[in-house]
Amino acid sequence: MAAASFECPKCHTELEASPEPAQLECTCPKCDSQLLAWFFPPLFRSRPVGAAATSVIDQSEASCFYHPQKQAAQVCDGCGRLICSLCSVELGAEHLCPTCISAGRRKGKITALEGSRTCYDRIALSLAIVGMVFYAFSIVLAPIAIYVAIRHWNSPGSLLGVSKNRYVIAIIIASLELIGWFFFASAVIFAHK
Amino acid sequence: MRSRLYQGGDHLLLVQSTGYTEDYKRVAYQNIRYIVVRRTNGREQQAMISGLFLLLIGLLLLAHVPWGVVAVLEFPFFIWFIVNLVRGEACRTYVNTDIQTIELPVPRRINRVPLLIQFLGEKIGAAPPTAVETA
Repeated sequence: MAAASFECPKCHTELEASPEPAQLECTCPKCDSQLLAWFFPPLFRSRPVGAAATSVIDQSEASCFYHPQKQAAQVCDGCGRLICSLCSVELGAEHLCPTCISAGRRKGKITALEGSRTCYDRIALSLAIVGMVFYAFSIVLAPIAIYVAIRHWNSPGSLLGVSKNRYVIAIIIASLELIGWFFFASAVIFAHK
Repeated sequence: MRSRLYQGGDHLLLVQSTGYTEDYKRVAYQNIRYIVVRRTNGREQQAMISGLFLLLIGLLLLAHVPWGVVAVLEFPFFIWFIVNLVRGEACRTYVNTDIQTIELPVPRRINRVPLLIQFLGEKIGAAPPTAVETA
């Protein structure tokens, strides 16, 4: 097994790790932090190296869409293009080309690559509630809350699972606020008449 | 910023939420190299703060405040003080992979760490050969 090291999380000092024992209790010599470390087999394995693409020898061989001089090794599960082993990115059970990866990431179609999401349902509900508390502002906030709720009704919400309840509640509250403004305006107009 | 940790089929999912946005970090079980736990003095700090509140509220007895009122006021701090002591030593937990070290939001107490280690030991043994990790 290869020699390995781990890092003190406070001062980033490299400390020696050994496969046996797999658990170590020590004090960092630099910052005196008391550390407990558990080592897992990947620490002692050499890092995996990606497969190198093979050059096309015969013109009848299928070549990579992005590297015509390299042999095709896979078919992209996203676009169906032939790709070499250099271009093939394994993502779960799928093999994708770099273009499909970047497009999927940009459009939010590949959940496993998503780094962040905006919770529009919470934004819509917050706008509606703020409008309810500070009613004078609701003439502006209520339409915005309804717009956000309708505009992002089908937008992906939290990865942790969402329902449309917040959108529905936001629309109901904002609608009631607007109805309140309608009655207020009607009362003012009739009072002047 | 609120951090939560979820277990996925082949990865740990760390969710950092601001309330209106969520940032995700995935750590594939297959890629976990080590877990480091650093002891902190969080338990002592919490004991001092809750103890100080207990003491200050206790001083109300000198101002002839009825002991029942003092007891009611002290009750939540007493519970905090006791629970903090019972929960054991405080710590911060970090998980390391080939490309990053991430601080986990849990466990915050050392006596909960073995549960995480046992869970990860089982998962790392059972993890599929390929997995995705994003920073």
